Amino acid sequence: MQDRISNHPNRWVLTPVAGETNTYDFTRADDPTVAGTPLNKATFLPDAVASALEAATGVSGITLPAEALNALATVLSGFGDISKTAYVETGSYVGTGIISSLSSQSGDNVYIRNVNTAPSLTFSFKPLFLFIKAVTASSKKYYQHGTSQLLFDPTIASPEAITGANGLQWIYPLTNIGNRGFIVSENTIKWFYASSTSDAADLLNTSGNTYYYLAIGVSE
Amino acid sequence: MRIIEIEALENGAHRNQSTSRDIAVPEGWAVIPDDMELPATFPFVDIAVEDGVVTSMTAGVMPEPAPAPEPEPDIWDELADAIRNGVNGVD
Repeated sequence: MQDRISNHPNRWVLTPVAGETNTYDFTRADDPTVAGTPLNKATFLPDAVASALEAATGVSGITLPAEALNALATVLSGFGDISKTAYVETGSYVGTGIISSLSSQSGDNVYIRNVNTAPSLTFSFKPLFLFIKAVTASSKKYYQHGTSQLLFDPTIASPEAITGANGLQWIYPLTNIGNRGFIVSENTIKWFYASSTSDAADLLNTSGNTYYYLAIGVSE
Repeated sequence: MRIIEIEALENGAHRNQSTSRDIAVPEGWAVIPDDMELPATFPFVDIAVEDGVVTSMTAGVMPEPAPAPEPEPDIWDELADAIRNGVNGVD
């Protein structure tokens, strides 16, 4: 829309109406240089726009701007918090064969060996969910797609990693999915096997194997 | 975007990641140029890095796979015979 620009703003000419008492015709005499956008139905809510809003929102009888805005508000409220942005990121990694797993346990405290070299993934956002799928070559020379495994779930508290006196890192509290514990730091997830194992496959980290991942997150 | 941890792990492998989006490179990691071919031994490689970018990558040494465990002796036939024939004692 465009504002009216005139040389004599608010100037009006009052012309008496013949035969009438105290009755005048108002005529604008502001000498505009820019006429500006008129304030009328065509500029506020043309019929075509009203009809389109009715079709899009399912609200009938939209004839006023307030009704149009109200219909939009009703629809938008159904989306919840739209200030958040969802992120999806995919990628892959090749397993290193290093096994980060349970060394010893005392109550809820567990000592994990090779925590510093545990497999990890970094994202451009803080992930809420992380799925990993292994693709391995079978003995018959074709590739098998393993079952996707949910590795990380935000409903499980992220443990705190503390370096103990013996140099081993211990994790408290121990939380895990399918025996895999994890540490989240900023946008990086590192995981280990929360039990004893000698098989890197338990850690989704078989040497030379390609693993594909899908991460989902939401903006802060 | 491909990244690799600069320092090798105790077995000679490097932690690595290939991502669909550009990410902030973690400390201690470097970017692998898109046109750099990965050796067949990846992630067991030797790399040179300059200013956070891998400038060369050569094949490393992959560790020998761990030998398969000895198979358990098959005792089921012996056990089945013992049940059929009866057992008066156990040595």
